[in-house]
Amino acid sequence: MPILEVKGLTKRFGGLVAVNNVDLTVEQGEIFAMIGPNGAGKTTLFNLVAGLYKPTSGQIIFNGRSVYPVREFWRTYLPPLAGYYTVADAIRRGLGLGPMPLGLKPHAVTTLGVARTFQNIRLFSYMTAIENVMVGEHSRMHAQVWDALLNTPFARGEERRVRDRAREFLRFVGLERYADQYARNLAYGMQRRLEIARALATQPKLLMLDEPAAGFNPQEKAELMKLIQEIRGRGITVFLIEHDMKVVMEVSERIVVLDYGEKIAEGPPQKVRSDPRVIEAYLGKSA
Amino acid sequence: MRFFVEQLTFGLTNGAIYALIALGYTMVYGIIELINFAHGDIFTVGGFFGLTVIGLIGLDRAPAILLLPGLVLVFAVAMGLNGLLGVVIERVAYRPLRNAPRLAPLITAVGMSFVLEGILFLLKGPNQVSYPNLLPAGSINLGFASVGTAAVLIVLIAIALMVALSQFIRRTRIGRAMRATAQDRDAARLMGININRTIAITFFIGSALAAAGGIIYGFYFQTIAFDVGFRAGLVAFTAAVFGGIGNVVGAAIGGFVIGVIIALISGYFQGGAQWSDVVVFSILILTLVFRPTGLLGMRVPEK
Amino acid sequence: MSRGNAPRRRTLLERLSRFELRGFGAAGRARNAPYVLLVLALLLFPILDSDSSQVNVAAVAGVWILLALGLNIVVGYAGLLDLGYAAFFAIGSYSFAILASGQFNIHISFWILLPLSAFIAAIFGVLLGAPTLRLRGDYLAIVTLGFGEIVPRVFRNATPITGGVNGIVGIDQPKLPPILGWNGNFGFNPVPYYYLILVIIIVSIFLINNLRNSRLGRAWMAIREDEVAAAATGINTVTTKLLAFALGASFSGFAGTYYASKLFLVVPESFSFQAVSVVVLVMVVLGGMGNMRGVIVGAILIYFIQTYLLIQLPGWITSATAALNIDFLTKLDVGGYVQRSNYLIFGIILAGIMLLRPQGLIPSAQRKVELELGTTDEAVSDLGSA
Repeated sequence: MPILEVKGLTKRFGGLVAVNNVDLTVEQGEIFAMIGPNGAGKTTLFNLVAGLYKPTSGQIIFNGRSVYPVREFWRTYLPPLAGYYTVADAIRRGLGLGPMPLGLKPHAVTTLGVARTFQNIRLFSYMTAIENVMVGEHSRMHAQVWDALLNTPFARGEERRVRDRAREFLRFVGLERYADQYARNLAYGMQRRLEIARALATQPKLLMLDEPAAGFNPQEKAELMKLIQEIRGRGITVFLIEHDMKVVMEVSERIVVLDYGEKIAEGPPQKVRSDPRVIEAYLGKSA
Repeated sequence: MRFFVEQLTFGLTNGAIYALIALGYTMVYGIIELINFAHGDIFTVGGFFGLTVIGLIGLDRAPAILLLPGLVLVFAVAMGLNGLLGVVIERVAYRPLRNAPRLAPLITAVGMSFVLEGILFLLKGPNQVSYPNLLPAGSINLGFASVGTAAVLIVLIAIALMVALSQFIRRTRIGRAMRATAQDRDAARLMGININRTIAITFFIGSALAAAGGIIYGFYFQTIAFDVGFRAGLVAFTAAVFGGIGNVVGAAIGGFVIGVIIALISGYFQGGAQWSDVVVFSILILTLVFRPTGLLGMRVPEK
Repeated sequence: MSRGNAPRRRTLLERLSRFELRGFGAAGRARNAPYVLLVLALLLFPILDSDSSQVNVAAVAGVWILLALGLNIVVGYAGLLDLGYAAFFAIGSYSFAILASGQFNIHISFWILLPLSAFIAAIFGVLLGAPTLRLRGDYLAIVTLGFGEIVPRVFRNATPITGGVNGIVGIDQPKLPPILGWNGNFGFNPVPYYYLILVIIIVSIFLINNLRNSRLGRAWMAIREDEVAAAATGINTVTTKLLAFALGASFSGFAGTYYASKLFLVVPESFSFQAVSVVVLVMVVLGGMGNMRGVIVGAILIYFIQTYLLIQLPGWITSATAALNIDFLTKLDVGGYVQRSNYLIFGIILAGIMLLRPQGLIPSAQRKVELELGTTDEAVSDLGSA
């Protein structure tokens, strides 16, 4: 079963169509890449899948479950809040504005099993590396308010387990020695790896990496590719945006190409690389 | 019917004052995305500036022939001084924190609000200060009711100022710069627009308009006190949000609408005046929850 | 960008600094000793000091400390500017006043109402927060300000229930079973009230400290740093913020109940923005947002300034200028000016601290760096999400 399906996805910002009727499928367990010239709508698509933007139209299905559109706001919003939304919904319908089109909120998407990193690294700079990763485990923890207030044995035990697991994630990306460094003090490459560790801590089924190799030297790129393979080896599907063709060709199994928000090619690396439309999209831009 | 017209007039006059204040809120929010908490108090200070000038030139005892030029002088001086005050506050309290986390300038704004109130409290005491009424007396007979000339004048002055502002923003180079800075500060900077100066001008204009509102307030209610700006500011802000934050026409409309709503509620419901604040607050919450962009909302660019 | 220090073992002090009150090893005991001594001194204070008015002052200071601790959760930990904190204080006070006085002749026990009013205040916190916490910080501040204005106004106008402008008098006072020769009546004796608030504060410190080091505390920090990233990492920003808001509100309500019973009456005027909300905010900002010790110090300092300094200082200045015999100065009535300057002072403190020393008097290390160098300020709602 495909882990992610996107059907007819469109996103308009005012007059600008950032993503135009895109269909794509990501199969479980594969390493799938999305490439395209700058401004092609790749990050926008990530944001749509992650729930950060609301699509103008289309459908997003993760693991067989609809992420957009979703009418099940009872389960995604806390019940007391649902009251307010019901009232708002009723008023909207009464005014002829149509029902509230809802999608899952970003944290709900993450809880379902989609994790992502950001193009321009969004770490919690003033928290340490290990704290950053521990935040990643937030949605997989169960301590409630009273556990927090009273520091119950359950909370204490969970904190210990979470801290140990966080250390494991740091070790996985090679940052174990920097666990207690403030994130903002880490070198660029380490910050990127930390963001990956944090994303992994959410125990995702699908990991979306937005330009993970940006600014890396060749050796760092090689290490990154190895890391991606290891991540896939753990059963996590990887969906990445990348500009570096070498990385993309070497590490991915299937590629989709976007240009001006539209899909212009899809398939295995060799096929895409020799697709005339793809070549024109890239060369045509720089010419 | 006559009562309705009376209340309507009262509402429109109040609304004019609220609108003048709301313009300052909406312009500043549009350009630096900050709610200038001190703006309500800038309104009060403007009123006091006006009072001082009136006292200095003795306008309250002047012969009628000198009234008009005198008023022009009062308005000009008070608005100018207030504008400068706004610029100074921006420079001292907000500019250094432009890149700080949002909490910081907010707290500073609350602080500046208190500084202004504190200074007024020190200098003028806690009580109401009387304000001469230099507006023409008399009324205009409409047949089914009569309307005070002063009220009409106030509304006309306010509308004139708002139209002038609107034209300014739409047609002049500086106005374009203001709009550009509001929409995309970095792009505006790259186009060679002096951001600091543009923001300073925005504050100047907003504060000057607030001063006009303050003087009108003084004339109309014939008193002023150090803390009138607090409540007036809250109402004016609600008007700005209701009309569409960042939108000048919206702020003006919002001001008038809210002014009328308050007047009608106070007039037609027993004890309505007490509950009008609750109504205003409810309008604020409802707008923010259901239609945060307000009536004429500028849709904030999403990316 | 520095590569950070070469890996080294963290010193004991560094490890303990993360746990503050938790260490019980040798170094931990050394670190906690001053606090233990302090608590001991506080416990002995009323016994050693026979002047009951001073004990009273200390008890009231305790109320402000409790308020500051509560607001610190909202402003300091979660980074939400609540300008209407007085509203929950009022709700707590009035709930108690209505349910434990001659007003309707209901007399529920103080000890039941104490937690109950905290709960009621928390509910109002949720009611207010649910629609508004999604909004940007600026809007939230104004909305809470409005709420803080409305609530006392409602209390002032709902005369049949709340006694209107005159408020409610004759509020019940707590009773305990007799111990150690004391008959258990709190009455108008400040000493039992003092011990009560002392216990409440100590317990609160423990609870809040636990909060800070928990999953929830981390979530608050993450939201404060970068709300979008926090949401993307699986934190439900709305419920997390609501929890901060509700917890802060419950502390305020708790303090309100204590205050009402101690004061024996409640009037709407005592809950205004200027009288309470801003004062507590100044305490938190001055002391150091997000830092409990700082906030407590800030509370004590401002309380001292407001109830002692600003009252005594005019007198001193007037006699000093008279002694100097400078005509100009006495005519100027500097003393009078000082007396009326509390607004100005608070405003200067708020703006000044934010501009010059945003981390407050006693910063938490993290906060200091954060405030000086900026965080990422996007609200999830800004992005046009679902």
